[in-house]
Amino acid sequence: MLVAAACTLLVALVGLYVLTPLFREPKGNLDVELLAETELDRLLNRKAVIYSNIKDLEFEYKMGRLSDADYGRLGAGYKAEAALVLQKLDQLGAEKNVDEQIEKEISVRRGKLSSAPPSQSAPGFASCPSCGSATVPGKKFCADCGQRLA
Amino acid sequence: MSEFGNFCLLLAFCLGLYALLASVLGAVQKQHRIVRSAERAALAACGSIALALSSLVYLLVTSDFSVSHVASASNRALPVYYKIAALWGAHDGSLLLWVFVTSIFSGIVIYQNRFRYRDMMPYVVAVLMVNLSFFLCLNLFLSNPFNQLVQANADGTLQKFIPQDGRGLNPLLQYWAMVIHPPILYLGFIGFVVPFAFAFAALVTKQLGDSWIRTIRRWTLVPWMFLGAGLILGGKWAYVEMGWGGYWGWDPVENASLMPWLTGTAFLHSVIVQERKGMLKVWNVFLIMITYLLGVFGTFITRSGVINSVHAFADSSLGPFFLYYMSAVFFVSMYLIIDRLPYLKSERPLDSVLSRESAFLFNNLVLLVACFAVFWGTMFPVLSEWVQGQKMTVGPPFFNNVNIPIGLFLLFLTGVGPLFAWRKTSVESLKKAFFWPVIFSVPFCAALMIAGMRDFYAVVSFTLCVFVLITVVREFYKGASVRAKNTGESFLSAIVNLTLKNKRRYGGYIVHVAIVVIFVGLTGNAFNKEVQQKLSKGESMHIGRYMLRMVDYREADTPNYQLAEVKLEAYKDGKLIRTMTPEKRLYKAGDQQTTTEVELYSTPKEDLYVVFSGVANGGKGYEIHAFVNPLVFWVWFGAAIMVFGTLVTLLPDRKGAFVTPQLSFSEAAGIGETLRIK
Repeated sequence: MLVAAACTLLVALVGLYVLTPLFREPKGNLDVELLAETELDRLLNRKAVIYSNIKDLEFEYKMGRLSDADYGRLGAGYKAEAALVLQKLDQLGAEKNVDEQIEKEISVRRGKLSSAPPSQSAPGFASCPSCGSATVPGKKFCADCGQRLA
Repeated sequence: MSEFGNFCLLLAFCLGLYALLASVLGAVQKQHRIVRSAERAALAACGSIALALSSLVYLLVTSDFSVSHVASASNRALPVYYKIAALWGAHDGSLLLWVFVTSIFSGIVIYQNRFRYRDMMPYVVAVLMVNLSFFLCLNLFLSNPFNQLVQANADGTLQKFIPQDGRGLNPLLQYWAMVIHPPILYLGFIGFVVPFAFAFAALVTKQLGDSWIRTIRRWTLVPWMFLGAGLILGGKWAYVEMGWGGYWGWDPVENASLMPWLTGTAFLHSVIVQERKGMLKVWNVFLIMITYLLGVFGTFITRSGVINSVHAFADSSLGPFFLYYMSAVFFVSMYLIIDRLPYLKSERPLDSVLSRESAFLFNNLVLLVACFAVFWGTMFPVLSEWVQGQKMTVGPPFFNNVNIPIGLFLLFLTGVGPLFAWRKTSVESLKKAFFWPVIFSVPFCAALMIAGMRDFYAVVSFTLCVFVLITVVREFYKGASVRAKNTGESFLSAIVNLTLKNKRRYGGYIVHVAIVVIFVGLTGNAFNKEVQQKLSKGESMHIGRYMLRMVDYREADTPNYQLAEVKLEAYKDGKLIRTMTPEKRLYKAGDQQTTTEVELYSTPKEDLYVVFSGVANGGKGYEIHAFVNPLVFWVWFGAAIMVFGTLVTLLPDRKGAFVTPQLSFSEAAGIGETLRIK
């Protein structure tokens, strides 16, 4: 009897715990696709890896493990790789304003989600025509490059 | 209580199946709430399994012999801690522990990533639940620890049967290392399901960049550490309990634990190449699949009764189900790997044979060859029975002949690998890097030969140990020197901070030191001595520098067993070092098994290992088997260093450690320069 009661109670509790999310939207409900790794993530990760490779190379050289020729050749190789990634990041406009890029990604994804055209960047925010960084509404000059703003 | 335990197990199985279906459905329909419900079901399954396990522990502690598992693995006279350990003393309970460990791993992963990797997690949950449901299914329907004992009446009806006492825990398992060895080994075996689940999810979602690799870094190290520790603890148990003088006998179950450890080691290395160079992507996915499958294969060997072993639960009916499961996992994974090949292309070719990448690749190949050799030797009895109809076993000589040279080559690579630079190393740099290790190891080798050491493998092994040790010491020394110079820290704090700043690399070097120390211990085997002799009171025997003098013999009775022990005085170079009392025990419960209780005098230099084999000459003499095993201590000590080194690599990163490394002005300027040139 006691066992039957315990089992029933257990099933009720588990059922409540497991099925609740089906009837209640979880907080901050984002589409599952939304958090997928983007091209930007990949490039930023790649950049981090190459930078750490360069730092390691520098350290190993100081430890005396590499000849000058090896150090120069490997360093040039890494730098060329880094340059390529930085160029791609530049093309994405990510290096100048990562936040803006993320906002853009989210807007694109949200647009896709609701089958509506992608929304423009949030109202009230603009970017500098010269350097692309975000500007504060009402300011006359860009805080990053000094360009006069309209 | 047994009904409740059984119900919890059934509930967990249903929850597992629900979580599996709901997570796939949620992923396909992109319905976050269904995925969330699936994750909750998986967590609830963990709780349910924990309740089932607690029920069985309660039944064991209260000695409820109406339950078959309790009656077969425990008895009233057992101390409480052995009653709890009896949980894994028989097949069905041990499977429940396995399921429990699996559920803990699955639960932690799901909870930890409840806000991360939302695209991959449904498939991760699905794989974890396939794994959990499979083992739960076996546990529920084929090997249920909550089954009740029944007896048939004369009229053919069945009635409940409660024996007066249980058959007792296998005496060989009544040892401290055995109490913790199975759970630790299980943590290792089953833990590889997590990296496998992420790899599988990455394949399904085509997210085959670096993020799954980064996520599983710790999840690979943890089971690897537990598997290594479990292996050595198993060795310690065999050494002290089996009484044959050794700790590793190439037993199928030992081999089954070694194989995933070897492939796991390969994966830990090759994954670094993928992270840093974007290479070996197919290889890494394949390796983690093989490692997971070898973990399941280990369980299969232990539980199928296919191969005889001192560790195995013989003649269980689970064998075919393991084969179906392993085949299904293998073929589905292989299909996915082949289908996703375009996403797994290397980002660059191998620049040079003289590079860190190729050293890693060599290390991988050699580890895989070692694994295959062990696999072949382990499965040879089964294969020979299929082909020739006659079971033929290969013994330790086969394994030693094949694996000693492979092991030594691996040791060589352990030393050589870090001397290579990434991408390409010039001969000039290599000369520089090899200079000090060679300067130390070659004279050491000569000294060993002059001192009279003639065992080829032993000389090579000790020489390589020195070689590797010097490379690691130099890594720390040079690294700390540069750091001390740059930062103005003292040399000691530079060593600590250097390690903490780059835990993975320097933690890895600590593990390399552990491997060297373990090899020192293993090489001691080449110089083992053993003497077997009948002694009467007052007589003595000699082995190496030791003399054993028979002093007394006594018999005694305890609630759990009867014992007979001899008292021996052990002298080293004529000086009394201690009195030793090796025992022979006859356990009262169950099959009345006899065991030998070894007496050990252990020093870093050597172990004096004494076994009392029995009474001879109608009670006038006592059979003593003595061994002198050099350097065994270093095997256990090396294992402790290995755990320490792995824990260092597992230390949490300081806040902000994941931000992009900042380059110095000159380095950044270099990249700027390159950009301009382009």
